Amino acid sequence: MSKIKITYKYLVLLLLVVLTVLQLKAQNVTVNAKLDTNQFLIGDQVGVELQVKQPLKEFVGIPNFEKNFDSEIEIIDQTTNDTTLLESGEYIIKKNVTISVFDSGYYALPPIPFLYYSDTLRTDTLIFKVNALPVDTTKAIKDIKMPYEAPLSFAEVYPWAGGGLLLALVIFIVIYVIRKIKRKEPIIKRFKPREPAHIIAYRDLDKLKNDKLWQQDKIKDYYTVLTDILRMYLWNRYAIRTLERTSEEILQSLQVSDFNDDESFETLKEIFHLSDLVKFAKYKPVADQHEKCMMDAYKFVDKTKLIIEENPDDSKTESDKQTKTESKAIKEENKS
Amino acid sequence: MNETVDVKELNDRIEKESSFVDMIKMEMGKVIVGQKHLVDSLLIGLLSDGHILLEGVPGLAKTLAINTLASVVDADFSRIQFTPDLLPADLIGTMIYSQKKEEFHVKKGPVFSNFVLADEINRSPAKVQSALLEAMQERQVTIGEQTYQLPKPFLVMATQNPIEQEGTYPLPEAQVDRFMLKVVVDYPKLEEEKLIVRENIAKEFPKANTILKPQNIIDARNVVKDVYIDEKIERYILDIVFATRFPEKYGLDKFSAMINYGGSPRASINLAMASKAYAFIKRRGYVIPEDVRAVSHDVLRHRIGLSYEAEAENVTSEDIITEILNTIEVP
Repeated sequence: MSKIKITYKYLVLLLLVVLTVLQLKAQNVTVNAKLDTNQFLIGDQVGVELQVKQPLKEFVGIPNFEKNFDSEIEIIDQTTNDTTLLESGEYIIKKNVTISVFDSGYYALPPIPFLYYSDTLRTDTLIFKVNALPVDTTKAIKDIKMPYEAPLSFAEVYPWAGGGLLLALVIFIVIYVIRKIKRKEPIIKRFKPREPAHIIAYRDLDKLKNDKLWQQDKIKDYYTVLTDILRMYLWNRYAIRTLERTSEEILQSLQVSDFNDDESFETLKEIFHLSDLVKFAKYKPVADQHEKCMMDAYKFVDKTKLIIEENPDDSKTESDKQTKTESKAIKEENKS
Repeated sequence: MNETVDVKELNDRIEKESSFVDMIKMEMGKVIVGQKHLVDSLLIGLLSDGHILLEGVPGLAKTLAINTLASVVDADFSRIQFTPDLLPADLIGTMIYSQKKEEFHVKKGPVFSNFVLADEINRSPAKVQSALLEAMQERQVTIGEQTYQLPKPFLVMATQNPIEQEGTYPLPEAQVDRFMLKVVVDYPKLEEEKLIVRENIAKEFPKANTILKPQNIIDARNVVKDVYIDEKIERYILDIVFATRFPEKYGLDKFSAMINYGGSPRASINLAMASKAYAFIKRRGYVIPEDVRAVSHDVLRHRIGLSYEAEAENVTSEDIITEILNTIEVP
């Protein structure tokens, strides 16, 4: 009998200890809810600050609101948890919830539950008043004001403008590609290096030779084309604006430039002088003069062409090969 | 080959007929120091039967130049100072009643001379300017009921002062167009001015000798007309004149708003005539693009009407002509 009494005493004592510990734990954790204001106008947005104060090693579950508090109190927004460590070693966790009500009257924000292990801690019920707008009944009834129009911001326009530009670019590319395909041209042009002045001149002189203009009694045309070729050559070679200048002006420009080949200068002067006579004075040179003029033109280009020194090991380009061939041809013709 | 001979013959003929040009230049050079462009312009006007408008500050030998030219050619010279109270009758002449003979007789005005210097033409009102410009155009004057032919050659050289514009009567565009050339006379160079001072302070001022008769000038004019002008040159002249009217067609869009009106057909005619005369002075029987370019500024500068945009941009007709000449392709 005495044994049973002793056991019973221990059990009661153990139960008391356990209950005391649990009570102590709950007393160290506090939850609280606070409204920004107790009364506000219909539609105003008011903040509710939820706060948990807890020791370091405890865990309290802060609610995340997915629904409104009730049918009349709407949750507009809610922040994430903001944790602050106090000097006492405790934590304060805060969360702000924005609410709004769209009818006047008194409302009670229900206790908000916080999970604490198997227990649930609740905040106090918060009472607040929602006021309607004061209406002056002595005045006439006015129409409802239209909503204010906020100015258009760049952020609003930007996506549309960007989209428009992108669309325009796509349309342009499509049209460009279609046109190129229709014209049977390559869609992307490859960069073509500019031909050297003497290559162009040689090609044009060859063409003039093959056209046999003076043989068809088109002497004026022959000298016009011949001088045009030389003028183009001088333009490309010495960057002198020759097309808008007279023969005399071109020669003067050459004299003030770095042109220092007297023999070639005299050759060019003779060609220009003879051509001016043919073009502007009805002069008809004899056939030998036509040939000589052509040969002089070749000689002039040959002697004044720009030669770029190359590494002997480098492979010869096509244009250089052509130049050499031209020079050879001139020498052979001179000999004959 | 006939054409070849033609040009050769023409060149030889012009070589022979134009020999007096060097002599005139030499004689005038005795009196006029520098001002080669002025002397050339006088010769162009004289040889192509045109008149010259001179613009330059006083004291640049404008009067002396035409006076010397008159003495070299053995021709009559008269100088008319245009003033606000000048009347047309003072210029062209009038009918005077003779009490002795009891009849009106004609008193011819100073315009009846081979060379007329209309000094400061913009100082006289429009009616006097019109009287002179009509005489220049028609080469005849009507006094009373009788029409009188003006002597040949007849060259008018009118002057304008560019710095004093107050109280002047600017020449209307239509009347300015009747001058073949508008020559801008500039100051002489330092070395030239040194010579001018020396000549003027010496005991005797040099005198030019008479070497030509007026008939020689009339004959030379006929030779100038024979100077060959190729179709390519004609096209070049037309391109230049058309560029003053429609600059955008010649890639000169920037001048479109700056030009109110461009050169008239008279500009094209005068440019061709002046080019021929210039070729003659250079003793050549055919015109080359250099000739056209040499006379373009003088022929066109008074024939381009500038808009206020041009004035705001400080663009002158000189600038426009230079740009046109530098843009149009030379044949």
